[in-house]
Amino acid sequence: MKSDQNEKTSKKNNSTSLETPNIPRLILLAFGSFLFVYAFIESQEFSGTAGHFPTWVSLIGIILALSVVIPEVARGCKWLRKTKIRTPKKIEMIQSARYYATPWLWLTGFLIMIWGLGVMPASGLFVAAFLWFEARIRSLFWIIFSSVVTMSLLYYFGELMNMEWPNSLL
Amino acid sequence: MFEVAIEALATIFQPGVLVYLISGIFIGLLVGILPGLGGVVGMSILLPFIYGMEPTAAMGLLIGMTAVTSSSDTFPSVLLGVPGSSSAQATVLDGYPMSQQGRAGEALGAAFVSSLIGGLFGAGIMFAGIFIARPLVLAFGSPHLFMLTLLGLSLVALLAKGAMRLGLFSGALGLLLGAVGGAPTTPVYRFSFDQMYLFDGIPLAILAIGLFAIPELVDLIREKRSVSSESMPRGGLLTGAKASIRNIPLVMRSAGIGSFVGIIPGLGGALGQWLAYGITANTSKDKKSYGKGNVRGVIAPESATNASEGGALIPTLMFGIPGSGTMAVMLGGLVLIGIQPGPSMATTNLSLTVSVVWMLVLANVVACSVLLLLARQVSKIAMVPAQIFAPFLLVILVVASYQSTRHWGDILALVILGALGWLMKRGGIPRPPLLIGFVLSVPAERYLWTSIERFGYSWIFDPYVIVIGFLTLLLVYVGLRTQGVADVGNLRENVKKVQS
Repeated sequence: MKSDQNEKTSKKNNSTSLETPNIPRLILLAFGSFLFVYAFIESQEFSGTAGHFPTWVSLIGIILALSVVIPEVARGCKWLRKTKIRTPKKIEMIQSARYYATPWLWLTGFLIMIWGLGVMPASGLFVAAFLWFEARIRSLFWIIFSSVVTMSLLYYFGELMNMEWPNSLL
Repeated sequence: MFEVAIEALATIFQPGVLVYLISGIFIGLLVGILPGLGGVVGMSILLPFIYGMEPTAAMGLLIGMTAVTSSSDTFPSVLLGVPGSSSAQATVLDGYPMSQQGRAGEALGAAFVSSLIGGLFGAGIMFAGIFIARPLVLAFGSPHLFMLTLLGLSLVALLAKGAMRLGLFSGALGLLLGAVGGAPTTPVYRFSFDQMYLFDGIPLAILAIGLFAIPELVDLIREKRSVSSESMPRGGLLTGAKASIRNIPLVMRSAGIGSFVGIIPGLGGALGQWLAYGITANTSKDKKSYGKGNVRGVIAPESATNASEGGALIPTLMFGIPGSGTMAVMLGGLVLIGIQPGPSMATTNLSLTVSVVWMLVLANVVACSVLLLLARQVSKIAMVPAQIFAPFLLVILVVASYQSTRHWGDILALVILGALGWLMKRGGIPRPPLLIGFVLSVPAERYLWTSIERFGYSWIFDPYVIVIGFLTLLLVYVGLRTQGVADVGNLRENVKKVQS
């Protein structure tokens, strides 16, 4: 009976230890911990009562961050010790990075276009490029129509609501 | 009481207010229908545009949008088996099987009418809640309001899906980000790195769009979600509507659960719908029919979700404690238009508070009518693949963000906060506590400072302060012991099963 229980416990421990570490969580927790430590040091420089609130918040933040970071890092180390990373795994990781990077590349591309061309032409071009390459729409009519509608709506609402556009090189 | 109600009713029928309310309703319908988006995304997009608007008109826009999102997000749940937002998850369980059996119209008809009744019930609860909470709000001073902000934040962290420590970590990060910029008590700029853009702090709209809208958009682009090409079959709406009327005790019971859950910060519509569904399924004689297309499995969660909106507005408006991400953005929106939630909502702004009840009523009636009349046409929007609407959404998000302070810093901040929100989503760190912490940061600091200035440290021994403090500590203790709230039964798992 007791040996059964031990076996169950060891199985449970193994399954927990082999759980893949959550990389985004680790990155964020590390970043958050750094932020709280920085804020705590910086808060000591603020004059008068301005430093009280951030000091307390950062102090609580440091305690909370530590209480989460330590178990996460321990779990990650355990996983690294027990799992041999195979080469295919690395290839999978590169593929996965590419998969995750695509939307961010589109976003960055759009912002660069705004910086270079201005909001109106950049939006038209971006919508056309996205529909062609990402949504795989092969009808030129719909692509041009979508771009023109986007630019027209931007112009119309910009005038109606007195909106301003970011400065651009052009 | 009734004089105020009549005065408030007259306010919302002013043309300037009505136009914005109706606009908000249509934006809410669109945001709800598009899968993956939700109230908080819609609210974040609207936020930059309400600055400088007349308060009642701005409230109309925001309330109109919030009130109907949970009605229209039924389309993707029923037709595609994909929850339109977190508040439409339980509807998938029976709504999607009904759709597969060719009864999509019946499911949608039942959902719209139960949403309407639930929404009206929630508005009634809010009306009663305003007058019940009024003496309590008026008795509260800055020490109590400070303690309430801590209690609200602890509740939200406690009820965050996953571990409470992560929720608290997220909330603390929000409080810290809220401290960026000019200090409310002394003329000192904090954590601004000598950048003029940060002197006024991080704009709430940018934070909300970055935290909620950008991660959803990124996932929409990445997932390349396959969408059914079949649109909604004709007929059945009336059958569904009649089913809701026949099951009125169930609608009222579920609406009651939804309203009660909505009042408690952190619980929100998502938990209310699961509770209503769970209770309905477990107390029913034919338990086995649930999950296979029982119309009562659609009625219960839909009435609970819509009723929770009215309940959630009580702590948000009266105590300044937002219970969810959507309510946090709304709270920030109120501050933008010059309204400070809290005791003033029960005194000088009482008419505005009551007008929100009427806005809820009107929004629900209009949304239900539009959805019932145009269900077939509206359902086609839900069939638009994410790849098609993603570029338009990105353009809207960037343009909306830039309107916050009209500075390139808005766009840079959007990218940085978007990456933060996306990492949080991927890392399973709850995002609402960060937003709520951010919104509560300045009032919490101001309440704390006022309390110390007026009472020294003697306020700590005030009986109300002790009770609220004890309750907060108890909640944190319970939360740390239980490591967060487990999912209600294994119902969420069932959604995945239905989808697969």
